[in-house]
Amino acid sequence: MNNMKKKYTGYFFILPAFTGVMIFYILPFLDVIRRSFVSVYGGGFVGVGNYTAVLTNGAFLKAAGNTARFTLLGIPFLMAVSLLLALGLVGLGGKKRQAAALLKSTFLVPMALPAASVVLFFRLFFHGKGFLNAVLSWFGFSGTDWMSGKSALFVLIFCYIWKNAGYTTVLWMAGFAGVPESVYEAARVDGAGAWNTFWHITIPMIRPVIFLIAMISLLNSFQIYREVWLLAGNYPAEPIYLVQHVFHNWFLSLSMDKIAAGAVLLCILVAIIIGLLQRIWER
Amino acid sequence: MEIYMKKRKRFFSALLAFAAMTGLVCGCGGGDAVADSETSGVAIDELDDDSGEGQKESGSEKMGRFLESQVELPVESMEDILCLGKSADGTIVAMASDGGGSSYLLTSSDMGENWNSTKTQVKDAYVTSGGVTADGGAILEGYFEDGEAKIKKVAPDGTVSDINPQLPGSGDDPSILQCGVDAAGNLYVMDLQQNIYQIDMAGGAAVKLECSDPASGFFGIAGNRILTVTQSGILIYNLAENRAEEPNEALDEAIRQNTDLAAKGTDRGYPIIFNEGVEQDSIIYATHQGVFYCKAGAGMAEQLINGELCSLGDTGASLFEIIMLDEENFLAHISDSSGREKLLKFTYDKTVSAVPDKQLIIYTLEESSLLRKAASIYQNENQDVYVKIEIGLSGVEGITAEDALSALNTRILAGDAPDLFVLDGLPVESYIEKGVLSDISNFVQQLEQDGGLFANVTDHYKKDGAYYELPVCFYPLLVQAPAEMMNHTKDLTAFADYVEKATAEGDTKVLSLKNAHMLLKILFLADANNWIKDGRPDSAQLEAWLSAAKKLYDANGAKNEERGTWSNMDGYLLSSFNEGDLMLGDAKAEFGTVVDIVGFVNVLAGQEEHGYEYDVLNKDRGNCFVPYLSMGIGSSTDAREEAEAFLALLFGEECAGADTGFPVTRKSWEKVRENGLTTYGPDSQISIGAGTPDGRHYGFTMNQFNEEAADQLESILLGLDVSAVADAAVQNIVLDAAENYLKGNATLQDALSAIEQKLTLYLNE
Amino acid sequence: MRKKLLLCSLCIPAAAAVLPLIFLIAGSVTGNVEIREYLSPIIFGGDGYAVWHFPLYPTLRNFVELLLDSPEFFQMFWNTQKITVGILAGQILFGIPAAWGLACYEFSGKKMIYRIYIVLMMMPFQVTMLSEYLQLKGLSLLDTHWAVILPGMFATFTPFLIYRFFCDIPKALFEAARMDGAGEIRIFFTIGLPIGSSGIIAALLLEFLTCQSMLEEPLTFIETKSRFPLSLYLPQIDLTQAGFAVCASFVAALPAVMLFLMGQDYLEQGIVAAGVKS
Repeated sequence: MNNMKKKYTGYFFILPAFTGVMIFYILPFLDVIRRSFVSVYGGGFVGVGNYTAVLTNGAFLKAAGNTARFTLLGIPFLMAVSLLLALGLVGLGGKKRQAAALLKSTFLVPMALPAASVVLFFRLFFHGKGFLNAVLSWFGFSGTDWMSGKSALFVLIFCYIWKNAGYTTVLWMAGFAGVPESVYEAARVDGAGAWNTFWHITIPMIRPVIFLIAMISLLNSFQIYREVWLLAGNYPAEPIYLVQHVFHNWFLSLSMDKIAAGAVLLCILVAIIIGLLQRIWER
Repeated sequence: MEIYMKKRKRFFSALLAFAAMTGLVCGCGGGDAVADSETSGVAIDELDDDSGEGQKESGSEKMGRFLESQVELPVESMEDILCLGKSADGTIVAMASDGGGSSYLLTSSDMGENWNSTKTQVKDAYVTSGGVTADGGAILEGYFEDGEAKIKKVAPDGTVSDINPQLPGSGDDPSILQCGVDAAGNLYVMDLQQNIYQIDMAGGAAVKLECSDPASGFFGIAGNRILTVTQSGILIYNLAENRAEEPNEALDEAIRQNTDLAAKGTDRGYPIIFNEGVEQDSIIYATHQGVFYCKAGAGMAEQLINGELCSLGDTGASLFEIIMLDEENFLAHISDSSGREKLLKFTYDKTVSAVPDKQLIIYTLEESSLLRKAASIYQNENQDVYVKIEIGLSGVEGITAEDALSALNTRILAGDAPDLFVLDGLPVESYIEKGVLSDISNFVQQLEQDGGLFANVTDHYKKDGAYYELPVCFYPLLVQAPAEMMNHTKDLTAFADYVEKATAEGDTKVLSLKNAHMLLKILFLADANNWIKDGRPDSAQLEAWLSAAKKLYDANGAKNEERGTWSNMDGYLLSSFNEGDLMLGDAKAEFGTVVDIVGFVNVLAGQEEHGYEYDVLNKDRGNCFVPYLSMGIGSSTDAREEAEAFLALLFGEECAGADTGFPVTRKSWEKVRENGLTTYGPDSQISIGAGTPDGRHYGFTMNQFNEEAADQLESILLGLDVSAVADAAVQNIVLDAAENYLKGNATLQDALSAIEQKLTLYLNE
Repeated sequence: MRKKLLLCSLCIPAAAAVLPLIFLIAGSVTGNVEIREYLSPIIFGGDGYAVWHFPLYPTLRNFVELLLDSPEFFQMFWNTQKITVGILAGQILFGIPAAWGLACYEFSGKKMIYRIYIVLMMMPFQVTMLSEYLQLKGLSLLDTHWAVILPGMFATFTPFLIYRFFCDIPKALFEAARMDGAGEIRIFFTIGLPIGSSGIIAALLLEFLTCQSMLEEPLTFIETKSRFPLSLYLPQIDLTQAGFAVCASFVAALPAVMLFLMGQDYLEQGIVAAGVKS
């Protein structure tokens, strides 16, 4: 009796929200799935035609490769950088705790600034005649137009890390805080050094936090498209031409069918990735 | 814990304060409340009141609306209408000027059917405001034959006297922004400080009124009330009772909804005009949205005439005056988007439906006066069709072409596609591929049979034997230079090399100044058709082009940026061929697009003055024409007949003029040619000139367009055989990168690889 | 000593993080003419690099122009706040209970719903843009603020985040409460909300920040300019009005920065709570 009650209570709590999600998110997505099997204007069934079109489309493949590359490079980088920052801040603890708190606050500032506000600055910073090159010239290096060519990838990763490092750092620190002091005590007693402690005790203990960090970083890696688009328009330098750019441009040329097919493929891929990550976490 | 609670409290209270403020603002704003605020600027109430202004129901359909007609004034080659109003006894009084500068006082007692005309002593008037006096005369404010700004009083017999307002602080030469006359016949003026004075017409004594507001832009007079228009609302002052009145909610709402109504922009005409209604204490006002009726003090306004169904809705038109004759008749003085002054009459017809059944929606990214002209004519001839031009780049700040395209595509996919497309700037290839455009081969065939087309242009649009788009006009890119240079202009590279050499040898006046964007745009149009082969960009060609562009830019270097960018202005296509520098001797060679007879005459003038020759730019690599106003019919339209009729009009002679480009239909071309011969032929007296800040100037009479010149132009037009690349995406990609290169922000290799990469992505998508 | 070194080296990324904010502050009091001069290599081409420093002639003119002469700025500013409050209200009403339900109760389909929530979170906007548009059109919500608020109310990121916080509440507390005879709803209000409050606030704060800079949804679903939120106003001011642009950017960022500074403690506590293993 109690169990049944609990089960229905669960539904009760989630139902209103889920109804909304159904209406505003799931239904449109079902429509997208439908569109992936029909032609754009006129609605004739084309089977997997759209999928083949997408999978053989040069631009899409290029963009997919770029997105994958960025994600595979960016996420570990972000996690590493924020990990270092977290360790640094933790290391400052004790007397310098105030300073650490202040520093932590400044790290979090990028998250509060709206994209549009910040893009203006980045545009000037990375311009061929912009601030970065100006500073480099003081040291005798000549800069290039950072937004074009291979360096664009560097710019992208920089922006991505800049925006999200603070938040991620705090996540790491939270993770560390969750490890009980007693564990560290025991390790010390056993004579484990700092490095060993870190690798073999801390890290495994905060595995779920690592999962969370990875997931959120993945989400943010998709969202960075907005900054890129504001910075560089529809056709940025090739290395940072992402899947969302392709979708956007396909829309401008009315290729809704390809967008739909591409979206479904993306969705499947994301589901698989998350499933994998979950498995690592749940083990 | 306590600190925790305190902080939390602070936080929550801040959040609450925020929410409260937002709530307040939402309550006041009410922006969302009006559902269809695009067409109605105020709270609309379709009152079925006793005054007969309501709409009679007939079955399930609403019947009755105002139909527009034009009133012809008995003035030979009428130029301007100077004022319009009613005298104390209800006679309609107007003044108009003719081509020769004479002005006439016109009266009508039968609602504008018949007019009496009295010639007045007013000559060469350029009137910016005016009114009608109680005795049937008029007041005009503006510039007259002596060139000075004045106020003149015209008596019913045509005699003229000056009125010299004694405005404080201005001495002998008062600076008057506007004047107006109320129902009692009193004169009011507004000076540069936005103060409003009542002026005694006899002596000019001025009395300042309370309703002056430094934030106002202009005023209107409705009977015995003066309405001062400011950005936050309209101040109403009762002149008969000498007191300010309560603001009218409807009027203020109209301003709130559209603050542009408070901005008096152009020299003549107002965004909103007022007058009294026939009932006591009523006010009528007109904007582009139509004609509205309300009572002073009451909060509601009734829309009597829908601007979109008549000439009022033409956003290129200027509004001057409106008078209400009775409940079913109005007169309005406007000038249309081509600047032609008109007296319009709106008459209520019970027998037509309230809203036309058929709709013709025409979509265009950019404003086009040619399109408007056709729409205006078509609407007038087909009052049962609701013609609506939707402009993607409506001038609203911040909307880019891409946003507009996104919005359009969304509509198309949502099943709401327009009936007619102006395809300039739209992804035509994709549309054709996806079936958005319908086959117009029949229509093209008809045009061919009906006088023929410039096949060298139109053949280009045949795809697999069918036509899906056709441009209304086209134009060439010309270059003009001394004879010894002309040989080198047949190829951009050769041209650039020549210019480079000349500049190196110390000649600083080879080319005119053109900023990077303009220069690149012209060069792009001239050469881009050579760059894409088999769906891939051609490196060598692009590199050559970039080098050439750079050399041409470096002829003048950074000085080039002193020049602005020319583009469509108010929907008028402008030639980018700028003869000024050539005529002044500041340049030896000039090149650019020549979009009309006027532009061509400029070229001829250069030939006349300096003996320079002209020909098509980059001829060897592409005798290009640039298409303008490419039209297409939506495949899902249910107004196919109307769409084709509209196109017939657009392509036809009625719309062709001397300054609307070179038409693709032979008949229209003949008319344009004729127009050109008459207007700019050997007998022409029109002269044109310009000066530089340092005092040099040039001028010439535009009379070079004779038969021979016409023939030459025609042969150039007939010789064009390649279409310039019209794809906006390609243009953007190339121009962005190239501009960086020209300005020294990127190297040639950088620009080249950027263009190649991006073009490849684009072509692959 | 080592700590000092650590402190110094940490100041570098801190500076990098704050640099754009300083840019915004400095720029908003710099006059247009000065800015054009500084940025002329970028705007006009030519030699040298763009420079930047605190203005030699600070001016409040940008602020004046922005706050007094640009009525549309205010209109858009309040549009943004209106949308934000609407979405936050919805998330509170619907998202929190949803997170609670997912965290504390077992029911069939729970795993499926959870997975759907995550996947939906990740989808870029362009994917469902058209379908959402058509749907909103069918509901006659287009060109109103509701077109942005309603979908925003049901966005799945916030419930997902809150879910994590609720997960951390020890089940023992529930059992104790139930044994005391408390109903499920009472448990929610008396245990769940108070304990998870810092996490909820943190998630809502994040949502607030997202709403302030929302770009794609308003652009697609709202047509009338007077209904645009502020985030759409900014990208279109161009470099030749650089001073004004920077000032507008700065003012637009203010609500976010201010609220952030005020609620920062909660943010961190909440993030801390999120990280702790469930």
